[in-house]
Amino acid sequence: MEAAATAADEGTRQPDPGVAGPQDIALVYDRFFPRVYNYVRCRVGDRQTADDLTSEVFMRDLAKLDRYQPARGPFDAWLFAIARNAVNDHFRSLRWRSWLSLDLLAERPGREPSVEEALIDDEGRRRLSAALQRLEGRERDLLALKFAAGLTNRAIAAMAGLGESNVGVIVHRAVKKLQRELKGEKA
Amino acid sequence: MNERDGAGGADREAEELVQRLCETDFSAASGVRESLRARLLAEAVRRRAAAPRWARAAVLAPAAAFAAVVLGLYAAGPDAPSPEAPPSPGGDRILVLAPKVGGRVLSLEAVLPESPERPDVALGRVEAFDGATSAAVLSTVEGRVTESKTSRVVRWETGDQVFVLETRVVALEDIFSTRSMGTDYRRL
Repeated sequence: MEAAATAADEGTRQPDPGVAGPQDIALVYDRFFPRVYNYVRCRVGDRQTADDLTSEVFMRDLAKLDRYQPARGPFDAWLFAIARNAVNDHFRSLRWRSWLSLDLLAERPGREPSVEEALIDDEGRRRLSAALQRLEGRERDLLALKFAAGLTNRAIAAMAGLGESNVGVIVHRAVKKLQRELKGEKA
Repeated sequence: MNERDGAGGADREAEELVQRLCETDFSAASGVRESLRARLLAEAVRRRAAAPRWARAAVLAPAAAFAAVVLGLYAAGPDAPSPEAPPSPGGDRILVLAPKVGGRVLSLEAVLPESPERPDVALGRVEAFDGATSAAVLSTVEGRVTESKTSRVVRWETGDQVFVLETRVVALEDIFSTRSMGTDYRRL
């Protein structure tokens, strides 16, 4: 199971058969927490939701760690597939709740950072986060996978069901769009 | 600033933005980092403590299934030893029958007096011709012996007939491995 933790560095090694021990989990967590959190945060925008979803991702990861198969892809791609599913599930549930009741819609986390967040986050991060939320869902997802999660275009393409070159084009356009958003915010 | 400079400037800005995206760390503002870590470790400890029973079963089940298949195939195979089969008295020994010479069958003790030393050769005997003594046979025929490391050949020339007796070290498999059109006669 030690290899599960080593996979954090190599991305391809297979966990040994057996149940993940505390040391393995600690190594995987310490290595991946920032990347997973940044990915989730880029997609959902607010800190509270990012905290909840990141917790869910790691709890799911712990439950499934023994089932990781390196033949099916690198470890980080496997982990971010879990993270991506968690975020997608979150948005799906939001849509479902908004369809059920307008009252429940009020529970939806705000897209703009709270006062507390504004105090904690620096202005640059807050603005970047806000600009990211103005992108389309797919653009935000791909930008987050590319720059926050640090995945390759190939891994993203496999995960998103797109061509590798298509991923490059979408990411490029999304960066340009984000640039415009930030400029527009300044103006 | 011409158009090219403008494009270059935009590219630089895009690069800077990408750089910023890569470097921005939102996780520092997370409120769950330490508490989540503690929860995960506690959960890992709990899972590991509960794991041995099913983990061991998961590892042993395929091995047990494989062993069962192998044993099943072995028991059903054509070469499986039959419990009713009597043990072979001669073991892997070769049975050599005595040759005929001029209408008479020679006693092997006569033509191969030293051969009983060899454990892999059993001398055959034809009851009807037991009366012929070694001395009588040797007085009428004379064999030419050729020996090698693994065989011994005695050749008799008795006027109208040439007779060759060969003894050689062979395995039991060599004797009964004759096949024709894919038929293994050991199985018949």
